Amino acid sequence: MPDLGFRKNVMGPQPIAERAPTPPEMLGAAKQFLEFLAKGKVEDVGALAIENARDEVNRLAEAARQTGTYNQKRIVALARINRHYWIKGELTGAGTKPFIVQFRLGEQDGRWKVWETINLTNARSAWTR
Amino acid sequence: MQKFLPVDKLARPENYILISLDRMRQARMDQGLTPFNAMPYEEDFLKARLHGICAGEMQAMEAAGRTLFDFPDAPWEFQLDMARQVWDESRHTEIYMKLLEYVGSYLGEFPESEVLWSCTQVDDPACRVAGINRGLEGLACDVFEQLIRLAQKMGDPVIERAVDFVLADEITHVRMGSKWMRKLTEGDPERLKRAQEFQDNIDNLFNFSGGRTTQEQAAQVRQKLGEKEIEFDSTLTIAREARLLAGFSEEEIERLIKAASRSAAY
Repeated sequence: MPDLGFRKNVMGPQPIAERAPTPPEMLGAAKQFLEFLAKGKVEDVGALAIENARDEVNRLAEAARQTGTYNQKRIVALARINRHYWIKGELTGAGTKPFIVQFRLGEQDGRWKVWETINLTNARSAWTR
Repeated sequence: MQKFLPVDKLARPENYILISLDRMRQARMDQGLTPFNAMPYEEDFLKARLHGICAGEMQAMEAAGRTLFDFPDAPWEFQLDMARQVWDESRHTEIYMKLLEYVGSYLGEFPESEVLWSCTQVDDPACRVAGINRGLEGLACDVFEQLIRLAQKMGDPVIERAVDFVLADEITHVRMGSKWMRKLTEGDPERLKRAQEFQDNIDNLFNFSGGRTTQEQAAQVRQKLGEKEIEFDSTLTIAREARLLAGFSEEEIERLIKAASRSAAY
């Protein structure tokens, strides 16, 4: 029986470079941000933001707090621009509409901070200006 | 089904990161980079450039399909050409997804911006083909010609040939655009002028602050690609030969070069 194409058996050009690893500290910061949002800890959420983004982040945290309470969080998507990471996260809870947020994390003074956020709850996509 | 689909209605899986070009530029500037897409001297250049092209091919596929749907009264041959282009762009998307794997990346590693789709937002098929087929596909000729030269310098026949195959199609798309821009505006010089102006706007949008130039005049910078260190263009060049093959006139190419050297669109 001929090999009809299991990829691992196919000879051909092999990748010339490795995938860039995702920094675990960044993922940790992303999960913490979502955790604080889920628990409505507005001040803690704000503390994770850079100075210029603090007001925006506080508004987002307030919006999450007013929408409902959440007991589950998940990272839905992740993409990067150089060493800044965009993360799409979803908060869910019983009887509460899911809260979807997209935020950018980048290092500042050795710590992962939130540089900007987009509230995607009720939005069709993130083509927001 | 809605015609003239706005940017915020473009469908993507939920595990995609979509952001506007403004936000993409801001993220780059916050890291001390130029606001443009990854430049040839950057570490991530090859991955980011191939990723941008792959997303562009997807949007080009959607745009050609949308052109078919948005203009049901256009000539049958026009519709056939657009259908053919959908087929081409879907193959290109697959080719670039494979190339992403080849350079250690994957679709979704970088965000996708709306900038190419925004160039479809016009309700005249003549403007649509002028903007997409002549403006954007002309830009694709420039980008692909440069990638082919880069691959040649790297000694990488996989990227060189794959991109060359795609470039051959893009040349036919530009020709298609030129043909239909002329045919659809026959006897209507005002409409032709509007189509050309729409294309000019798109050309200006991608001129990178006047940083673009010809291959011969591009400054060379050292860069490391994998294990190799090479000298290469410091900016996106204008591919005179590929554009001539695609049917652009010498005069049009000269105008583009002059506009590129004085534009401040970025």
